[in-house]
Amino acid sequence: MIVGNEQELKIVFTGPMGAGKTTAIRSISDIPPVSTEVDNTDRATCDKDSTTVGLDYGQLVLEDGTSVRLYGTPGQERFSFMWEILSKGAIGVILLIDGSTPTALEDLRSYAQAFHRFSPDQAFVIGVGRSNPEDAGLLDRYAQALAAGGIIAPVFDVDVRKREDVLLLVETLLCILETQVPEINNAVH
Amino acid sequence: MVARRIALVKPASVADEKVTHALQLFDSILWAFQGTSRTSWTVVTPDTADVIVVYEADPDQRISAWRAQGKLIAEFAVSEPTSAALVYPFRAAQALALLERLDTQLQARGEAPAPKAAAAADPWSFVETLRTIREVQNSEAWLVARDGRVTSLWLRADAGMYAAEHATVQAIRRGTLQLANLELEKSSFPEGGPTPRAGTELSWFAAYHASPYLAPWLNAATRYRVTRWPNFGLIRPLPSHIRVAAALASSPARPDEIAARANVSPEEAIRTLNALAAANVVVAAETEVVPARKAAAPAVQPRGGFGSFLRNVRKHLGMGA
Repeated sequence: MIVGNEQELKIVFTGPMGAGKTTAIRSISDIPPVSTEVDNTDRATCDKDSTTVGLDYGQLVLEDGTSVRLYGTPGQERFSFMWEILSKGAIGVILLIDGSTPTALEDLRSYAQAFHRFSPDQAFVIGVGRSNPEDAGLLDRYAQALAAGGIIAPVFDVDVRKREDVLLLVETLLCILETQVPEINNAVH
Repeated sequence: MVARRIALVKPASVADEKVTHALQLFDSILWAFQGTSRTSWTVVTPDTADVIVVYEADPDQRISAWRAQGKLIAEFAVSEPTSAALVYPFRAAQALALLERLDTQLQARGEAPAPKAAAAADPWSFVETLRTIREVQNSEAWLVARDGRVTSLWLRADAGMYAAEHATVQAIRRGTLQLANLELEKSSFPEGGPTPRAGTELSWFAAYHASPYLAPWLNAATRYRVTRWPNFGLIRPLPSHIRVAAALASSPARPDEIAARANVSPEEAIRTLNALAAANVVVAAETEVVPARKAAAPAVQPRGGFGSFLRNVRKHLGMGA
């Protein structure tokens, strides 16, 4: 496997440590995700037992034999050099944010801006997990913060432990491609 | 409660959209605040009305005749300067104050109030109410919505939250609850009541199911675009809803152009546009300054082409097309 090959059909899952990238890939991948997880020594940033230091890898093999690769980027900022490599040529990028952390809005901004910089025209969807159900305006504020920076992207409440929530994010990526990319729109119609 | 009859007259020869909007706003304020003051206003035809609301520049000659018959005429304007009683866009409080003054004038004349009549249910009345109270932005108060004596739901007075029993929520989502039949009154949220939910869900489904036709505040000739996506994690949309939102997120479209671009039926396109508008996430393209951006094609052309690829992905994951 050539990691980050531009000539492959791939969907990239990104976001900070603990946002649920590995879980999301596991919920739709045909194969058990290949994860490069190690014990988490950065408990100050995220309190979980293990974390991905390289990347996660999952796969969908369609009925015509086409393979769609699912990549999860490493969550730590120091591996950010891999984000661009992985996202280049992807079908789309799914950004996952943990809405319960105090840095959620800052994480959203920094990841969205980074991926927007790499490829401003790439289909991009955001899932926010663990958001406070009593804060009905939270997602609106996130979407408005992105819009203020010139990024109009879907921002949805999700629970990546639920397969249907991950499918909602994937479906949205496909719909964006279908309706916004002329060559795909023409092929679909 | 005192019952009064009021007529709202739409000018036949005035094309200004603001005039229509002003009348719709006034009508929804009447509906939204029903039961919250000592006077109950029922919308009737001018012939039987105590008060007739007219546009100040309406040349309709019947207005003089109504005035001569002793009916109270309340004029509104859509721009300053004016001597009209209301200037659009007006706040609910201004409209309510005007109604109060009109009621006082009728009382001073010693005119007997009319027997209370049931207003015909307008399919958009509930949605218009949600839009109106969102403008008022009162997040402290709660309203209760009843159908007759049965409580259906509680609504925060800024439309930001609502609460209902599970079965009612499902009925709202399916469109089987006749929201236009509900009457709103001031209330307080009951202790131990249902868990409040985001008001966007109520606005979305109320508008989506209200009518297969374009919402009264939208215009068939206007091009609309999405300014931000609604929270589909909350709404749990059909793929067709996502396609319409995606189509309008990239570039503006007139209502009649959306169906083709999103590959959905014309009715589905209109219903979804209505829902997006009620969720306050679409604007007329002329007022939007953020440049439209379209997604780029993936670098790799799948075997069999993109159409086949997308179908296969959906089939593989068990997603509806």
